Amino acid sequence: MGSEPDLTIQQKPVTNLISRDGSFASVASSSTMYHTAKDDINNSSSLYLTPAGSGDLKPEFFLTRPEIRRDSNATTTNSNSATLEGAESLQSSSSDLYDDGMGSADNMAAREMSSSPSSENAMEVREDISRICNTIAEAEDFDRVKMTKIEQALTLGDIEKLGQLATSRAGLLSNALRTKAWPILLKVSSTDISKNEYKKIPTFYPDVPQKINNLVNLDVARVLKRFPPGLTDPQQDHLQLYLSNLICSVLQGSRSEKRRAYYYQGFHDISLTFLLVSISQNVPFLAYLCLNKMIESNLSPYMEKTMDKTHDIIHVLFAVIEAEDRTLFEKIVVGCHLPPAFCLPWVLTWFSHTLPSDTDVFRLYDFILGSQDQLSQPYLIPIFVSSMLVLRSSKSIMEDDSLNDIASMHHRLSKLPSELDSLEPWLIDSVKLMKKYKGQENKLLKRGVEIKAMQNRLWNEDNHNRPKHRPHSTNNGVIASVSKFLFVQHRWATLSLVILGTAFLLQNKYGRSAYKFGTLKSIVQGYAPERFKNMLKYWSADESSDE
Amino acid sequence: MTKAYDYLFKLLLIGDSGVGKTCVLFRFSEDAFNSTFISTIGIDFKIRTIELDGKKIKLQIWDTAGQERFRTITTAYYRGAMGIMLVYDITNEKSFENIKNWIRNIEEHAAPDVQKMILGNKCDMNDKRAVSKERGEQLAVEYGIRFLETSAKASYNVEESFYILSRDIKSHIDKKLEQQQSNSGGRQQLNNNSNNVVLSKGGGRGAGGSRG
Repeated sequence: MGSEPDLTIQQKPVTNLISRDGSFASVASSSTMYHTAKDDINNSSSLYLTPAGSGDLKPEFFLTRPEIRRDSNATTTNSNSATLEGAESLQSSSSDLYDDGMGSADNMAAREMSSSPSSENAMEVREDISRICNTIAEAEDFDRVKMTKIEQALTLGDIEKLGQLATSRAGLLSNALRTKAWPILLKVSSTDISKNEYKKIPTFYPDVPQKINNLVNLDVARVLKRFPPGLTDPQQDHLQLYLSNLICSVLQGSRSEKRRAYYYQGFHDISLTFLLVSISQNVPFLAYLCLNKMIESNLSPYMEKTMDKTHDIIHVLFAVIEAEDRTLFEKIVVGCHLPPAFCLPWVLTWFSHTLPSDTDVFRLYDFILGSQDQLSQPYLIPIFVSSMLVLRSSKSIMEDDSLNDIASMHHRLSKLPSELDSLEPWLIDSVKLMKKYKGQENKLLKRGVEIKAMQNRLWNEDNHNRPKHRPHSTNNGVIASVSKFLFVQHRWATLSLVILGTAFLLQNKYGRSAYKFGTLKSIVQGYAPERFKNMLKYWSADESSDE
Repeated sequence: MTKAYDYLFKLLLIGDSGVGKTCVLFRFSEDAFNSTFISTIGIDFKIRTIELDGKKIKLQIWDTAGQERFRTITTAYYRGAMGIMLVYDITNEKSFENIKNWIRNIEEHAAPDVQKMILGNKCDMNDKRAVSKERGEQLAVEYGIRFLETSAKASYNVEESFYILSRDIKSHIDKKLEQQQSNSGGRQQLNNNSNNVVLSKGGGRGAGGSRG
């Protein structure tokens, strides 16, 4: 790994190239705040880490081909001509490294793949890697005016302005801007950023229990769906190793401090999002810094020892819906008895587990991170965003009569994120919603707990089979309503009538020997209604004529 | 309008993380296997309608997150379940040992008459086997519940296990129904509550639940 420091020096220009065009490159170099690290590159070790327990693995180099997309006019001239050269030379040198790295990754990963990668193969692989940056990330309608504004806010360190830009249409536009803006929005200290940008993520985490380590690996093994398309097996392996190391090192960090963070399934999705964004700019350590901040603020209640707090918090979703749309609340909570578990993946992963496109996921993260100061408890932001998603579909939910139990409602609501054409209208509404309830967070939390208790009661009643409306009897309505009238609403009256009737019939047939009919007659005459008495008169007349 | 099914059974899949609950369910509901599965966060369900003794049975199968801490939230779903599949991974000793904990969990939160079954999944990976079939069988005998080794990947025994569990539930319900009818002298009830899952059998006859 001796050649690495050279590579890291050359890497910076390539980072600039990844951005849309040269105009960003120039601004980037003007925002010295983030680029003081350039000076430190020489003494920083390598930017990529060596995952624990795989000392001989040389990870692939995450670089983009200097593809000049869009208009490659004046923008790539001045400052970039130099960087382009740098990138070309880097390409040739990194292809050597790549061949090497791929060979050893092959040994380690024991996957089926071509055993001796040809240079042709390596080229292909490198092109695939470049797609990490090209396929995921950037807003479709790239807004140059907005880009300049974001760059200005970054230069000035204006968090408020940056938050506004992150929440407004299209968010932070590109991964290059995200990498710089996210740590600032999370209030990672700027010295931390500039000092450590090119540090490698720690690979030692002795305090993370083996059990959790195993679970992290299990979850990391199941994130392939979210990887950029076209990665080869060794590239995937590498990214996965990177991810599990990132997660464990963040957990390790939390162990040494007072406040412990406990891993939950879903944290890996959040970690992956930060990793994908930062790795596309070759600064994975920023993901580590951001996540360390996240577990202290946005995620802390979700990472407590148990999920009790999480359970309380997700009920705030119902509290918000209740306050906003009473009839919808009635239908979902009172009518269907739906528990709020459907929103768990939304809240715990900031929708990254659910939204199919990474571009959308990044956009949503822009939004949530940009809304940090909208609520006094930032961990409630995903709850409000989730509530808004449900509220927006209120009309169609209310109109759909087939939604009448937990399953149908759970299914309907779980599908909401995949029905979105664009996130923007939803996010605009979410901002309004948060503004409206700012300052009432504690009240909503309290109401959430009350709703939880109410739901428990409903569930317990369910267990006793409380009769409710009956959706399946529509095809035989008359019989059903008659039997409901007889056997449910007036079951005791029906039962006593049946018993009484049977008794009389039996009396009539066999009773003469066992009972004196007259006794019964006198009892009935004392208590029975008029109509019965008449009936009895008729019967006793019968009796006497028999005799 | 004819009803699409005669019975609705709610089933639940539980077991450690990564044992293949989602894969088993995916195999059963879609008859497919996909190696790039994602972790289940929280709870979700799938539907499949099967036929038993000429009756259409709609199975609503809930799939849960395996991580222990999620139990706080998922145990709410135990109550409505009529059948529970306990899944472990035959290549993972720990997941097998934990079956006992999962059973304890059921005893705490599920209906006392819930039908149970143990599945030893991933039996296509015999070379990595850590739990012998005999041990699985023994455990099942210990608890008096059924047991099958399955492979969602190789599509082995998945279909069978769901049919067996459904059959158990059906005969249990039929028995309960009979008992109830003879006990209450033909008293019939319309059991409307979809939560406790016995829905009316065909022909508009109300089927009794566990009331009273």
